Amino acid sequence: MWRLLILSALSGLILADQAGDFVGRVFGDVDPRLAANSLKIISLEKKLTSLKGKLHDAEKVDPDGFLNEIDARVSELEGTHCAKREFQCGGNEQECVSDILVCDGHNDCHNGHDEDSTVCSTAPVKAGNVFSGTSHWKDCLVRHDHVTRITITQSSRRKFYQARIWVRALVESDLTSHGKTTTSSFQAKGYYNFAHRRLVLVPLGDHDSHLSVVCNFDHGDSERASCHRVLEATLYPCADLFVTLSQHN
Amino acid sequence: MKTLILLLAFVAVAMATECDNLTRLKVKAQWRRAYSSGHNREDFAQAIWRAIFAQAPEARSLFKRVGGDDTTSPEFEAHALRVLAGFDITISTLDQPEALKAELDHLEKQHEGRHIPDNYFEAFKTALLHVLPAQLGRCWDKAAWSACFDYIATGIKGH
Repeated sequence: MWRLLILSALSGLILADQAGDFVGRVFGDVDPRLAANSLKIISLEKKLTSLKGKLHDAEKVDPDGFLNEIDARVSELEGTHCAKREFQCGGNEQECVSDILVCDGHNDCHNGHDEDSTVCSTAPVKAGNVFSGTSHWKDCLVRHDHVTRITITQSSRRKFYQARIWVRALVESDLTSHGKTTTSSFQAKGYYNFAHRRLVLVPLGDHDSHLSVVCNFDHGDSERASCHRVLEATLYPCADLFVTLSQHN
Repeated sequence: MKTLILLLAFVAVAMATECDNLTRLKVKAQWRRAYSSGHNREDFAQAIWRAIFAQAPEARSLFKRVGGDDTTSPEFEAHALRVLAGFDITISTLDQPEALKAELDHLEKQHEGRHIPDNYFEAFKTALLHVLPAQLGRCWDKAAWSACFDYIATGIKGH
């Protein structure tokens, strides 16, 4: 350790000396120590620029988000120990409440987790959000893998009943057949369920031939969701689709 | 022009859902799914009443005797379940006109003299029409429910 310090101090001195000579030659009468300082500042600026680059790289690896994702995935595998359509309050007091009471403005869990701001985040279904990903069909329709885009066009939350967000969306699929790309799209309506972080979209009125979309935001954030195209009545899954939120800028 | 208006009126009549026999069967089946049982039934009732009081806070005063100040009080939970039980009888008998008539008359008698304004019934309807799809998730017919609820509410109001 000490050796390293001495070595760096020495090299600093040598660098300063050399710089002093160089600057002295260029600037003539300027105090060589001042000139050496200015060069040091220049090298500091360079280091700052490279630090900026490193900060940008650091943004890409988010340990907190990574932990959230692992946590969400493990919880998914463990199960909630609650019945279907129930919400697990979590924490030290394991408790189940009906999902129609989650995020309705009244505490129903003893620890208040059903009104927690992270649970009740409306970020996944903000109007204008565009989610896209590749659909992989397993059944129901014969289609090559293709891109599907889900655009949230409208979202409303009733003041007197806040446990659901009612959503309108446009679902588009880029289909390629015989070398030509066509876009098949339909309007859908549905809701977002806070308790299960689930978005359900059912084709509107005359778009009955299309299949419903069910998305679970099960990756620990509001940007990624595992979706399925399902038959509305039976919920039979026909296609798998993993979507990510398109960047706004 | 007149024929056009007349035609449009006919179309509107044809499109509006009535609480007819098939609609009643549909409502009945969907209610069976939503009404559920046990703890979930209590929560279903709780959600409906919270939504009613959120729309018409003044309506709480009518329910003082049954703990209406706190919808989670045991007294009010009992009341909420009682109300749903009455509603369950009406829905279950939608396809048996005589039994339905008897239940509606019974409920009318229980409500008369309480001076319940029509907008409280509307608040009940709106609450039900939002909690039901939340409870059912999918496969539910709003128009059918609207029509049959109106039919039942008219029976209870008596006008």
